Amino acid sequence: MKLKFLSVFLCLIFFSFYSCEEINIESDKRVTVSGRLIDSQGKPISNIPINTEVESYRLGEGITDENGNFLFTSLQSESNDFLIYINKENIGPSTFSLDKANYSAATILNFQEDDILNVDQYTLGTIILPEKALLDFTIQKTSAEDLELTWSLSLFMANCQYSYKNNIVKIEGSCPQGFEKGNILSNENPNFSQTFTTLKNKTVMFTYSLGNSASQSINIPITDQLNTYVFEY
Amino acid sequence: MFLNIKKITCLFFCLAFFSLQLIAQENQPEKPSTHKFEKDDHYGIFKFGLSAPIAFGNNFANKGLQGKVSTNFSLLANLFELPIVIGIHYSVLYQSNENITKLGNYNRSNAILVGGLAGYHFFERNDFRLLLTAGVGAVSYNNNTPDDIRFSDNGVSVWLTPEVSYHFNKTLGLYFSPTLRRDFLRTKAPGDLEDFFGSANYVNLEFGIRVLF
Repeated sequence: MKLKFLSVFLCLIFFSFYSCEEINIESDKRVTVSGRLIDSQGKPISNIPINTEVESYRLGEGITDENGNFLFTSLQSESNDFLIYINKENIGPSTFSLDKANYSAATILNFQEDDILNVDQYTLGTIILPEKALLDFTIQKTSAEDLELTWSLSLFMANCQYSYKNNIVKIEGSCPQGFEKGNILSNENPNFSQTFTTLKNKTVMFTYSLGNSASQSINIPITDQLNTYVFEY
Repeated sequence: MFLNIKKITCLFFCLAFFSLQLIAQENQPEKPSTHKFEKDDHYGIFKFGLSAPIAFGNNFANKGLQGKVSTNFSLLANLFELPIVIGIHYSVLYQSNENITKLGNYNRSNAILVGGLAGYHFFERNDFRLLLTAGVGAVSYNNNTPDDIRFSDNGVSVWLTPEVSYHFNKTLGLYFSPTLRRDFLRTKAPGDLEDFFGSANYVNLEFGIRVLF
């Protein structure tokens, strides 16, 4: 009994040390992150949070002033997984309600690779942060016929990704290109409803086919912050 | 801050009470004051004190850290038969980060200082004494993030301490000293921030107990 207790105790100690394996913050070092945020009309955006993280550990944070400028000090990690998040609160699952910050988010990845520890300032320049919007999307079966609906939705993501190597560059395939959501609806599961986050003043492409018929596409304009589209078949 | 001052004041009165208790237990009467330093006397001084750090200047300590309290230990001995003293000093300065935007995301900072000091002991009277010391040592700001990840900012510290003490007897006394301290740190930061993170200035208002042996 004592031996068992001792082995459990030693395991706990081992795992407690193992779980202490955290990131290493570089001593005697600070970096700065600076830039300016504007909207698609060129107006400065204020009160947008920006923060730096390594493996989900927050190293620094700041907020844009009335001119859209931001400058803050961050710690530096010895890991090269250094991320800068803009408006991170707005990154998340595709369904959430609009909050006071009606702008999209951005993630900036450090592409300095082995050279990351030599970076002492991240000068991001001017970043355009588009407005985000919600699409309340519904598919309803109204016909009594036995129909199968194959559909997909192509929309712009509200989280653009950039790479940083001396300056920032958009990563192909993240933004403005979007992602697709698709499904097959049948009599057993005839309806669908979900709220998607996307960008304002863009379009969402809805593509569908009924049974074996040719597919058709509908462009849904996203003109407001909250948009509703109902498709009946 | 007010709470800390209250705590320090409370501790001060506790020390004073303790000292008076010792005086009451003292059986031997005090020797009459010679008002002179006894040159053939060898002695050591142990000091323990608490201080309220006040940072000043355009640096990270003044613009971002909030000093709470500092604990200080010193051990000194006179050199040969002179009123010159040398010794070692250890202190821990407890601070919190009140400006994450300027300093980075950490919430606590304990600055540990270990160094040597030298000074001159004035025995103008046996009850009131003056000690002027200067020191140099290694300082390490041990910082903790909210996720309890640790890192440090390291460097060298220099300080100057004029100290006045009141001795109830030959052994025990209380002291007060306003210490002027400057830390030189080797923190690398871009541009203008190199100076901002490169140094810290403090005035430490310290008081505590002093034992001669």
